[in-house]
Amino acid sequence: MTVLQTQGLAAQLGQKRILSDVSVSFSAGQVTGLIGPNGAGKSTLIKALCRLIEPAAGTVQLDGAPLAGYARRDLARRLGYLPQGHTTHWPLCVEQVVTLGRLPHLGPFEAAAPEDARMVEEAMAKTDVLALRDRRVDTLSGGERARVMLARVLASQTPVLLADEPVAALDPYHQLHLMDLLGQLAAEGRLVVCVLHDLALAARFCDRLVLMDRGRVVATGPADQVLAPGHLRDTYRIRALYGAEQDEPYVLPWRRVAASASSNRVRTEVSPWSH
Amino acid sequence: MSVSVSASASAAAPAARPLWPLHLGLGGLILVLFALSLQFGYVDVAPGRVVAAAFGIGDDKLVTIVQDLRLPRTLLALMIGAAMGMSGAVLQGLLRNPLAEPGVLGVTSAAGLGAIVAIYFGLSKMLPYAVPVSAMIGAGVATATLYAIVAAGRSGLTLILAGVAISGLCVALQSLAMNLSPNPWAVNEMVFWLLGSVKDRSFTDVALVAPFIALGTVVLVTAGRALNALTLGEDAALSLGVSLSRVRLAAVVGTSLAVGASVAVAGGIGFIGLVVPHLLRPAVGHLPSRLLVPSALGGAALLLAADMAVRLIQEGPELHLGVVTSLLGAPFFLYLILKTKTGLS
Repeated sequence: MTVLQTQGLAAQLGQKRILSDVSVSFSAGQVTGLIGPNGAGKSTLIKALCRLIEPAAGTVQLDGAPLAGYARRDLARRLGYLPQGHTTHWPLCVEQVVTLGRLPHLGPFEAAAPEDARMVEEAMAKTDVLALRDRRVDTLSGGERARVMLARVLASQTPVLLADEPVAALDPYHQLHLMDLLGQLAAEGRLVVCVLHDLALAARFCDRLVLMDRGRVVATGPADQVLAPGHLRDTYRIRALYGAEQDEPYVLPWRRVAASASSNRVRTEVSPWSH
Repeated sequence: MSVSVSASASAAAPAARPLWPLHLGLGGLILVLFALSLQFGYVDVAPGRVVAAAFGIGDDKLVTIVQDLRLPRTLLALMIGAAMGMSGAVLQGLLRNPLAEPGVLGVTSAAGLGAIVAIYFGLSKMLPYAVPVSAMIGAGVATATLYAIVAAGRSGLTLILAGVAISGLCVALQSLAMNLSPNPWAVNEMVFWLLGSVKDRSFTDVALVAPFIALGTVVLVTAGRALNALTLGEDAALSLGVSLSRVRLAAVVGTSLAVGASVAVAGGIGFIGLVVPHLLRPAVGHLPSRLLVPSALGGAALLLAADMAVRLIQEGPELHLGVVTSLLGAPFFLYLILKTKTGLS
């Protein structure tokens, strides 16, 4: 079973400290949601987890060994990274984009083999983009593009999937579709970590949540603990409505609140004149 | 900037098409142009005798014309066109910008500055390799500077503007060298050299630059697959196991060798690297690695054709090749800027 964990992880961009003393662990078979307000360090943590940035202190370990000890290609075969924004700089066709996912498994001048083509096929089938295979990615809708990008990562056959805001800018139908897909991948035994802004999706689709704020982990655990009113007030500065539909709990962000007395956050958003 | 230059969406996927017909077609075109290039000149000769003369058979005067004048010129046009075409394709892939090109980005001017420095200080008289080496250093410094700008996360617009600035600075320093030059004859030489031409070059020139261009081209080709991964952005490429430092190094070293050597022997010949990859990109399905060899072949064909065109215009003094490529390339550059869908930033 794959385990990815950090120990006292700190990271900085330039002089700015983004992560401080982050110790969390992620295990296979689960979707872990990484949540927290803007600037909490979620994307940075995802990047540190696949060694796109080096820790300023502490370590990230994959199956007990520090990431720094792995060769880049070995990491690429184990950790799949789905970046924010789903960028493609050239208008490639869908199948070409998904085939890029096979790169970690090819030698420097080795061409893609039938085996690679089969993996690409499988990844496209799983994300339901087979019908789009010859379409150019610049002609796709946001939902189609998101699934193509997920297929690209799946084609790498990595046991770990790290997704940075995979449902951002998608309509509700495609958000639900993508979260279902991530759930299936975890059910197949993969380790899935995804950054989410939508608390309702986080509550329903994640087996476990990690709540971050200002570069630190504030809470980890099941949704009902992590999304407790106090946590939401102290980190997001919101009050939420809680409910359940057929035994499935949901959370609905409802109102902004002023910072609590215990928090030292500066009040910037609520002015005395804002009514 | 994401997907930027639009091209008509084709029904069949050009991505899946094998490349050999395109390679074969461009190769055939080069052969034809090569033969025609030996054929055309100020002395009219029957085609059969030209081929014979190229192998040293026939009239001595004709052998001299073909072997010492037309053959080096043709070979240089071929090599330089290939160098520029492939450098353009690699720079566009690396910088993920269809407007990247050695000339537009100031790499050509920087190489020119390097060469002028070598001429100005008389290094070229002391060391045979001074001009090409100095030109390659100029090209290398410019390419590395541009890459630093991209690595700092600046926009496509910043990159192009930085190219304009580098180009402007190099041209200013070239002017300074001419301004300070005590010898008007030397100034004349520098100006004509900067205009860009493959006229009156010898086999010595060919031998001087051929190894560098060949080596540069080989280095550039090794970048292909990494450029594909860069389509997804740097982070995604890194996560796919691509060594970013290696692909940057290959692009900088390869461009410096190929463009530096070209400029050293032929002066400033711009826009080949802009026009050729752009025209061929839809045909190969937009994947950067598939674009490299066709761009080299296409560049060779285009420059051979352009060099023949300047010879066929019989009126007045012969036009310089660099003047012609700029006259055609600059409007094309403007057209590309206007066509760029999402804007440069």
